[in-house]
Amino acid sequence: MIAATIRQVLSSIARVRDAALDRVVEVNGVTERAVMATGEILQRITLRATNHVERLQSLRAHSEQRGTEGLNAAVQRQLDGATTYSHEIGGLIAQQNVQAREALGELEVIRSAALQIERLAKAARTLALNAQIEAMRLGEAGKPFGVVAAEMKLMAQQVEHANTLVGRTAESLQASLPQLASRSEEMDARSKSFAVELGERLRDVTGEGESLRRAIQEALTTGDEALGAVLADCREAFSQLQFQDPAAQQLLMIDQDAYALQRELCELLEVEDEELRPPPLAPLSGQVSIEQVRNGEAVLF
Amino acid sequence: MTGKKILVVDDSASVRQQVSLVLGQAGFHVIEAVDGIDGVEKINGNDDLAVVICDVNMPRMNGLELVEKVRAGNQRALLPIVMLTTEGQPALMQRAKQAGAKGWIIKPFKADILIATVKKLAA
Repeated sequence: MIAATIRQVLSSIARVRDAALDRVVEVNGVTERAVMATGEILQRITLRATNHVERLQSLRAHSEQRGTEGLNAAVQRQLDGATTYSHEIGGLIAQQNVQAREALGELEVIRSAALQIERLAKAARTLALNAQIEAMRLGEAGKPFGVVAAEMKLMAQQVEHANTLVGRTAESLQASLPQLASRSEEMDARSKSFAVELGERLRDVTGEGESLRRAIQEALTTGDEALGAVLADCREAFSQLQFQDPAAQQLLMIDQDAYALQRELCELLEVEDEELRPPPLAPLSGQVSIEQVRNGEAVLF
Repeated sequence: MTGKKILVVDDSASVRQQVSLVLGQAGFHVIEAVDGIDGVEKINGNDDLAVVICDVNMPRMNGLELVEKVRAGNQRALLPIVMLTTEGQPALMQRAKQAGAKGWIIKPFKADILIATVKKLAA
């Protein structure tokens, strides 16, 4: 009776050990697969964060090298262009002023000529008048002469009239040319002033560009540090998930304690039945094939 | 046999600790690596290693990749490497064998099996 009971106890211990070991391995496998799946997700996060960090570092290095050189060069080109434009305008205005003064001089010549023509026209009119008087004095014989005198008088009047128009035109031009020169000089002054103002505004742009560059640098550095922290957290999280191995190992220790108990009971009770005695530990299953190796065991290749 | 240097490569600190404890009590000197890349560096930096015990599933470089890299380096072609893993697929074991691994232990490991395996390979 006692022997039968002992057999049952030992048999139960063996069954429990087998079942426990199977469960240990199963749980270990399930948890390891879950951990590895989570680990893959963390690795993807880590990879994306690493790629982003590398891009940020590349951007920062590029920004440090280039700085605001490109912007400064563009600003300088604009300044140079504005200065050149201002000089060209000034040159053109100066040429225009020279031509205006030459024109004034020529107008003066025209005015003088007009005065002379007026004097000549007056003299011709006087001459025509005298001719008419003489023609009247000559009577019939002087008629053709009188006609010529009348024509001369008419021509003299027309010349006088045309000369008056030329004189007025010359006077008008003489009055307006100085105004034109004055306006041209005003344009030149405004052009120079515009170039100076443009320079100041473009320098403001350069200053803003430098501020922007510093802000970008700071943002890149902050982003770099933040992603570094994300990477560190991901690695730590992955490490923390590795709980199933030690848990399974502890459960195996329990099994080994049960094995030791089983053998001790058999020795104590002098159990000879091979079915009840746990087999001695075979350290290496050297003859076991890859397909036959069991959980907890080793196979050498 | 005692005092021989063993490298354990596993991304789990607990497993490294357990293996170090078991082998340390058996008289071995154990050093640790946290993943495959760290493992390769430790292998290249320690000419007196007797055996390497290596997990399979690790970030950055897994255990099979570590074996392939070490064997490709020629200098450590004879260094025994044993895989210690929960994986029990015959295809993986075959791949490890072809890559040059010397053995395969399925977790959770039994202390006496681990010790016997290391002793046999370190001899």
